[in-house]
Amino acid sequence: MKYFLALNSSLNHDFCPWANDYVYWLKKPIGWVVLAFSASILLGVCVSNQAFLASAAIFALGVVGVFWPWIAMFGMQGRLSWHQLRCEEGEKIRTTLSLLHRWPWPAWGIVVEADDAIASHVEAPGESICLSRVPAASKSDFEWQCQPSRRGCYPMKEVRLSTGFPFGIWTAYRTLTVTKPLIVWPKLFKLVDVPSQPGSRCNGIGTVTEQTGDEGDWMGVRPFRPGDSLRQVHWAQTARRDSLVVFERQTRSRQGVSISFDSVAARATQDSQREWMVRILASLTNHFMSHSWQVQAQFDSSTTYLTSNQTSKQKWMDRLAGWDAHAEEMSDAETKAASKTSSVALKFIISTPESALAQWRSLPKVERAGLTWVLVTSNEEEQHRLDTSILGSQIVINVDRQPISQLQLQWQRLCQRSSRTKVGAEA
Amino acid sequence: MIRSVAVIIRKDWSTMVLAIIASIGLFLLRLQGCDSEIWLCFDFLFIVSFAIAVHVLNGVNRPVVPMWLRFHEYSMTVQYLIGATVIATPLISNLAQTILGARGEATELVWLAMLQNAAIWQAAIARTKRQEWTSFLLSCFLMLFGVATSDRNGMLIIVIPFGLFAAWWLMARYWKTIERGFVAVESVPLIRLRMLMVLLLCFFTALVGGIAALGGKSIASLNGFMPTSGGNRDADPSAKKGVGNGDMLVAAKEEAFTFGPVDSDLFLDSDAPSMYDIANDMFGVPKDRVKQINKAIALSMQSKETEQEGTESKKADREFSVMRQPTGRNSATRPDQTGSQAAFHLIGKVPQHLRMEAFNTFDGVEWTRSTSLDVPQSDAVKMSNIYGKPWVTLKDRKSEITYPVRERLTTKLINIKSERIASPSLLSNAQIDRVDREDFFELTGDGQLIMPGREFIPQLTVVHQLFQIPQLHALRESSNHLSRIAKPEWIRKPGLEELVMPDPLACYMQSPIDFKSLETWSSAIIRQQTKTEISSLTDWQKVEAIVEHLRSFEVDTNFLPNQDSEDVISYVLKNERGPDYLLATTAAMLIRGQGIPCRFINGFYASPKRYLARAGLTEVLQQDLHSWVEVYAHGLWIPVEPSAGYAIPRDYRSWTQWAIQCWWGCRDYAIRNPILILFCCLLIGVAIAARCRLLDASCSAVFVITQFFPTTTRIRLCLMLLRIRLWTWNVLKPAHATVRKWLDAQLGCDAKLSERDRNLVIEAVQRMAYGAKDSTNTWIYANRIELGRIHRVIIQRGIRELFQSGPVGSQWNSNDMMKVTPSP
Repeated sequence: MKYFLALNSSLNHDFCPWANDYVYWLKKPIGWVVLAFSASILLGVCVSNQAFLASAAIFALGVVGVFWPWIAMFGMQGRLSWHQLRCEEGEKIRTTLSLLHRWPWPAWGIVVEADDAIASHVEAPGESICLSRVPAASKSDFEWQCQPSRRGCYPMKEVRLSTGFPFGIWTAYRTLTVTKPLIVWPKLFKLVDVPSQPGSRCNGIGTVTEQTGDEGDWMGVRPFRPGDSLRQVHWAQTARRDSLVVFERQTRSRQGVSISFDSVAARATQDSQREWMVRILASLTNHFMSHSWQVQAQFDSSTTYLTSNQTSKQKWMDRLAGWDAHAEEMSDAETKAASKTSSVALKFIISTPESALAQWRSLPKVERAGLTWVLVTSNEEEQHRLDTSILGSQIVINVDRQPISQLQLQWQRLCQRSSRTKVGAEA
Repeated sequence: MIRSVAVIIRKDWSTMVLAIIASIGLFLLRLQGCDSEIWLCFDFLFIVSFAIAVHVLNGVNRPVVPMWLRFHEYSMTVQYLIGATVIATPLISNLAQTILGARGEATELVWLAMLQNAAIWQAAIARTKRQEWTSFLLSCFLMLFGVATSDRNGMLIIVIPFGLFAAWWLMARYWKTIERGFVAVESVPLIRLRMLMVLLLCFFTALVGGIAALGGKSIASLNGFMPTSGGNRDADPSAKKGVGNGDMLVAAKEEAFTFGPVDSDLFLDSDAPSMYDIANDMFGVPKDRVKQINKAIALSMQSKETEQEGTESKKADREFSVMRQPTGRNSATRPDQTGSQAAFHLIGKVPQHLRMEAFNTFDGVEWTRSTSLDVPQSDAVKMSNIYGKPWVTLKDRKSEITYPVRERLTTKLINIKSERIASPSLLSNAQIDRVDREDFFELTGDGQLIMPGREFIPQLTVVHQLFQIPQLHALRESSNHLSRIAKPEWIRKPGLEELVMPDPLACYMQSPIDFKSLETWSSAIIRQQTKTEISSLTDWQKVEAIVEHLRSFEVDTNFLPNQDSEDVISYVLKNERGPDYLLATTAAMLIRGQGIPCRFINGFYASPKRYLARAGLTEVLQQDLHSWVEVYAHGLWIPVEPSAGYAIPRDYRSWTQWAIQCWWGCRDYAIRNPILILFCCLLIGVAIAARCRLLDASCSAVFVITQFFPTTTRIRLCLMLLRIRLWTWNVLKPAHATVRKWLDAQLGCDAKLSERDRNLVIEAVQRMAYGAKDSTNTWIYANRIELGRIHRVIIQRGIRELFQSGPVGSQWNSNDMMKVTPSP
């Protein structure tokens, strides 16, 4: 068998790659037609007149095969649209192709050439959308369901109609217009519960109460209690009363969370891993937004403040949908700026294990408090090799093994753990 | 077993068939230089049978097929070995023959035979596209080689089916690659193709019939060459026909809901829905308005005694809310056990907009009508007698912007309960049979004809109406004194909303949105739509630009504003879709933004889709409830349609206006498609330059069909063709020429016709013109083959000359023609 394989590989070996440019046209059917026509002419001249009969037949076949598709496409004009402008990955969207066909004869065998995500069947991904027959002199609407499996702003490449009918030896094209692009958001996963914010005993029930600290409006003053920060001392009142008096403030009505996305690590990973990082970022931000938290998202060299309203969510998701990991690399300064965590008590960084370990060493101790790492990995070996236990609180997701349930399960554990820690601290 | 057979039959045999046909071609070639035909036949049949057997068993996993026959389950090495053996069979066979002392085959034939086996083998085991293509290309090569090198006639018999089958194979392959991705289609024809085809067929039939009829009669083509006597015996049978009395529409009185337009005085109790019920049924019920309650502060009693008297509500009793929520079909408002679901029937031109209610005030959610508009206009209706019938005549509307000729329509009320008469915007007269009193009719302030003093107009009442259509040309011409509609005093200024405006039209300028914003929006839309400065446009052109922009929006009855949506105008403009009443509201506000009075209309749209050809009327159903707007222009309210999918109300244009519009349309099309236009111009130029040749060739092409006619008819038609050919080349008919001279000159120009041919035709013509019928027929039958050939040559000449270089028509010179020496 191995001899056959060796023979096969030697027969398929490209011994003169420089000549490919000159012979690639022979790989197309029109190349064979041209070759056959030339050969038949040569045979007709040199061998027998009967070969001219074959020349005529091949010529007729070539002319019909080239001009029919060209004429068919010339009389056609089309527009591609979707029934909604935004959707999530994996969501089914109705797509409509409106065609204006001017010729008084029908057109057959038309193919819609576009990204697989928008121009392929849901039941058979990768199978192009084709039109068996476009009626003569008509306005026709073709409708199908597409299911984009990956975020992005579609169409990513030119959308066009093509036909090789009747013989498939030559393909003619016609560009389609797209009224409005389809924005595909990253897939969002349902998470249960939110982790308790450390440092505030009433977060669980959301009661507005008095507290010290530098957040919230002033409610009044009270005598100093051991443990109060000197920064809260009301010096004027202290001087007047001759005893330490501190400010009291309300708790914040909205809790804050900071979620950072390690763009540098994301860029260095494989596609599937990077997409999962984006999906996790989208799910976390949306989860917090749906609980009316104020989310501070550090993503790709900028910080975005997200609130729970629809416009904020839409803008954020549009940005995630359109993020191109290969667009431009960030400078070091930008990376540092992006990775700078804020003063909020609850922080998440979405990264890879390797990058997380590297960052951990350079992270100041004060910023490590309240930090949870969300580590996305696709490599089992790497997961075992790198000891991430020093990072503290973490969620590790292996994208090859049911990442959704992993995320949901670990998230639930994180929430339970944080509430236990809080109760313990209060006790 | 049956399933196995079904699997075998369903297999793709096309590649195998092609390979076998090509092999037969090569087999014929090999037969020429073969020692032993029997051995060759055996060799060929063995290979083909083996390949067919392998193809049949390839991929079949049924229990009926033993394991050792399942070729595809063999290891790859074995498969390769069998394939190599099959391909090398001719070489081995030739070697064996040489060893045994025979001559064997030529080396090139042996190699070709190996290729043939490779093609058959690939077809037999083909499971991938690449294998099929390899087999196809090898088959084509074999066939091409066979055709080029063999001089056997049998090869030609094989190559034709092979060529057809190869073309079919290519088509099938292409279709196979795309067939799994087919999607369903919903299409609307641009032109009525069937009608076009029928017309073309009629034209073609008439052409053939005409030619045949002319050819079958006397030799009309020789008119001018010989005297004629007496008339022909033709008479047109249609001349004897009288004028039919027509089929009168039979009035049906038995069935209450018949389609017949019967004037009836039936007054029946009915469950017909009112206009308000229909609106709720169609567009959904209005949402409850959220009452905005501010802090109430009790004041001391300060009002005077006179103010405590009962006051009249200034709010109209019927309003139209644009904030609605859909409901299920309200069957309670629908009558049961009736013959028709129509609100009313209409006889007249469709599409037609029939208004029922007008609203002038919009508060952001609801359209209401000022009470002043419900008050009837005094002296607005007069009764007059026209052709013995009592017609209500509305106020005279003589204007430059209405077409003086009135159109007529008739409505028959079926399932609608309203005192208002559904009527076109520019209604001028109305008539109900035997209702001849003026006080039966009134015209409301919003221009609607009503029958006051009753809850609703009785069911089955037939209302005849005359109405005018606008001619808006004057409004579109900037130089015309009527082009300006807007007046500055109509425009509400900020802070002056509460002032009472003296002009009655000011109530049509109200808006819940700041006028400045409206003006900005509408101006932006006009600028975007017309791509010109607003100052250069007339007011009506602005209206048309706004309407055109809104007509590009999608009409979607399910696309309702959000609960918290305050401003429906910006909502519609932003989303570019909405139900018709929201589009109408938006249009009204934007038009008002340009300082032009405008009002919201609720009524019915009589669609041509509901035209019942057999009954000659159009059904207007409750589903046809529709909203649009009317724009004020110099005392008239002109209907305007802002919703796509509904026809634009007609306006009259003279033929010069149509011509100007067509010209601008053509110019725009030429600017958009310059290459196509240049290509067409080029084609037309070529066609003009070669007009004579083209005409000649076309005539000749049409006369090709005469080849199937009898010989005598063909000769007559041939003469006609020669006359047409002369006319085409603008050669005058030779005066005083005899038939012989003329025909000799005509046919003498063709080098393909010998002198004998010319004499044969001339004799045939002379015999037909002057000879006895029986002897002529006998003579023509005897020479029919020769005459047929000459006929073909004459016809082909016109087609040949199309592609002939140099001057063609120069020989058609009447003087030169005479110089041709006639044959003895």
